Amino acid sequence: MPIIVKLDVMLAERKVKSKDLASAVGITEANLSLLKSGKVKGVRFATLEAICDYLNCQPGDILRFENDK
Amino acid sequence: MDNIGRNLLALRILIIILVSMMSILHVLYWLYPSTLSEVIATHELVDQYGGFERLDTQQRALGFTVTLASVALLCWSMILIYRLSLQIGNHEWFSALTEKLCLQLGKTLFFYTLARLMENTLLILVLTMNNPEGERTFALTISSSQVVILIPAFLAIIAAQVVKAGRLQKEELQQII
Repeated sequence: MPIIVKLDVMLAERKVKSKDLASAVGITEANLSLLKSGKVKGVRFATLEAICDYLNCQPGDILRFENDK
Repeated sequence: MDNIGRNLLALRILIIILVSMMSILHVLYWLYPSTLSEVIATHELVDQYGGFERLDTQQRALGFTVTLASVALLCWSMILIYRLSLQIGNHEWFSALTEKLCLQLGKTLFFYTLARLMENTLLILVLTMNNPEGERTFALTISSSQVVILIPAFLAIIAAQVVKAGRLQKEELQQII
């Protein structure tokens, strides 16, 4: 998939635990794990907004487009 | 329990009564035709071809078997509706089981139509099988009352496709965090 999720990098940079982020955003740890591994079909704007707000970053810091071709 | 729940419960009770009555009466109809003739509407074809009195045991057994297919399929479609009502009661509108039940209901009603179409032909063959040569009958019959069941059959198959589309959308939605 050309969209790469870099959430684990941001979590490491901000020294935030997955559990804390999941709790702050209001999603389960299992779903956050799926999101980190990129095994989801999409991310709601509300979820993205909450993640960016908690990590104090931009959506571009979490998502990156990489062309497969 | 809300209105829908009450209606579904009433439907399930009605289905249980209908399925029980259909299966019991079908057996009684062929086993004790003379005693129950005033309770159960007699089969027109049996009356047309001389009534139950002239049928021997083999003919009665075959008659029972020939008409059993349509009764069994009708009972099975009732059971499928019963199970569908349970699904709806549990708000499982777009599940794989609901899709499967709708598809099975459509197919069962389709086969029921085929069974009804063949029933009269086979029953006439059975009723006249002991007649002397030249008096045995092979008749193909088709009526609107037999074919009209195809409409709910196709509707159930279409409903299965709608449920499938809904289920796929629901599954995709669950993969959006």
